[in-house]
Amino acid sequence: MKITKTKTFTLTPELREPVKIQYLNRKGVVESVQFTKFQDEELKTKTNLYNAAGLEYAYTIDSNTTNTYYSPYLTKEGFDWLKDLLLSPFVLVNSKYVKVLDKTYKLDALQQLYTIELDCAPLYEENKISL
Amino acid sequence: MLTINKYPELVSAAYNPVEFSFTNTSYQVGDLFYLDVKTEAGTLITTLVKNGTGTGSATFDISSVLQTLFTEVYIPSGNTKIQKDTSALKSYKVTAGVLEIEGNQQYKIPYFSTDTMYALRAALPLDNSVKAGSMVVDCLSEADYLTSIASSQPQGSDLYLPVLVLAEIDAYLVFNFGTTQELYPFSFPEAGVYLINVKPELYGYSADNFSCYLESDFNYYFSTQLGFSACAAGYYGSHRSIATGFSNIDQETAVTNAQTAANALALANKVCTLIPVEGSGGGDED
Repeated sequence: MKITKTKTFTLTPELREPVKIQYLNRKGVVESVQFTKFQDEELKTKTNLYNAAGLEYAYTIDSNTTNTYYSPYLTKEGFDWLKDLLLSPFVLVNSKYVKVLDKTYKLDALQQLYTIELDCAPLYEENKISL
Repeated sequence: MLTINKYPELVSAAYNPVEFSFTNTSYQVGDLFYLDVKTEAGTLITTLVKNGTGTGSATFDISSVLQTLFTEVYIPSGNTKIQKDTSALKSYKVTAGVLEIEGNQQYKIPYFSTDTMYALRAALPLDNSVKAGSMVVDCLSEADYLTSIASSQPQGSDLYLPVLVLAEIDAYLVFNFGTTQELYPFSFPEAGVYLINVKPELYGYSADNFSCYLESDFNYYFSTQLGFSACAAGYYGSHRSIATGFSNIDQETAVTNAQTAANALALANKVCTLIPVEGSGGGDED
C-alpha cells in the first residue's frame, strides 16, 4: 500500500559552483536548496579615532562583512517553498552558520519568475587589531 | 472527579497551542489544578499550577514547555540515503490532577496520565488548515512529507523528503522513471523524523524526470487517535493503538482490533494503580 504522497521532480541543468543554503522550515526539519555561484562580497570598515595633541590617530578598525547570494529563477511553487527561508532564523551557507541580515524577493511580472537575494554576515567577524 | 474536556492529538506542533482542559466536578473556590510534563522516561520537566475558573475548569497550554525540548537542530549530511533527524520530534507524557493542601503540605492528586505523546518542532498555520497528524505515516492514508519542496530542482542538489513515523515500520521507496519502476527497501526502526534523500545519483540513476513515494506491505496499521478511558477509582488513562500482523484481515477490522486492544491497555494503565481519591488523600506523583 502507498503510505506517502507522490512527489514528482524535474531536474534542471546543474548550477555551476552552487552555493548550498540550508534552513529550518516550519515543519521542523532542515531544507537544502542551491543558489547560484554569483555572489557579492562587501567588507565595510569604520575607523575609530582618538585625539592627541590636535591630531587624530586610528586606534581600532571595525569591519562588517556582507555576502549576497542570489537564487536562480524560481517558479511560484519554488517561491512558496522558499518562503520559510525568508522567515527562518537558522541559515547555513555551504555548511557554515550565517546571520541573514536582509532578504529581498523580486517578482518578474512578465515572466512570472521570482528571485530571492540573501544578505548574510558570517557568525564571526574579523578580529580587531587595537593599538 | 476530574473530567477531560480537551486534549491534544498524539502528535502536536510545539509552536501551536497544545491544550489540556479539565473540569473538577467537586470544585471549590481556591482549588488548584496541576499538570506535570515529563519525559518519556518519567523525568519531570515542569509542573504547571493553575486556579480554576468559577465553573471549576482549567486549561493548560503546554506548548511553551514543549518548545524547551528542542535545543538543537539536526543538520543533514548529503549523500546519505536515509538519516534520522534526532532533533525534530520529542516524546513526552502528561500527568494531571488537583493540588490539595493539608496543613502546610501540598499534595498532588493525579487523576489522569497519558501514554507517550509526541511534539513536533513545527509552527503550523493557526487556522488549523494543516494538522500534524496528516504528516504521520499511519498506513491508512497517504501521509504528507514535512516539506513542500518544489518539483523543479537543479541537478546534483539534495532532495530530502522528510517523513514522520511513530512506530517501527518497513517500507519501500518506489521510484518511477518513465516506464521503469524501482524499489528500494528502507526500515524505520523507531519513532522519529527520517530524511530520505531521493537524489537519483545516490541510487545509481541519472534521470531528469521521476516521481517517488513510499510503499509498505499491508501488515502495519497505526491509529494515531488518542482517546481516554475512564479507569477504576475515577482515574483516566490514555490509549493509542498500534496494530501489527493484520495482513489477513481488512484495514478497518485491524484498526478496530487495535483500538480495542489499546482500550484494554488503558484500563490497565498504571495511573489506575495510583492511590485512590478516597484513600489517604496523600497521593504523590508516580
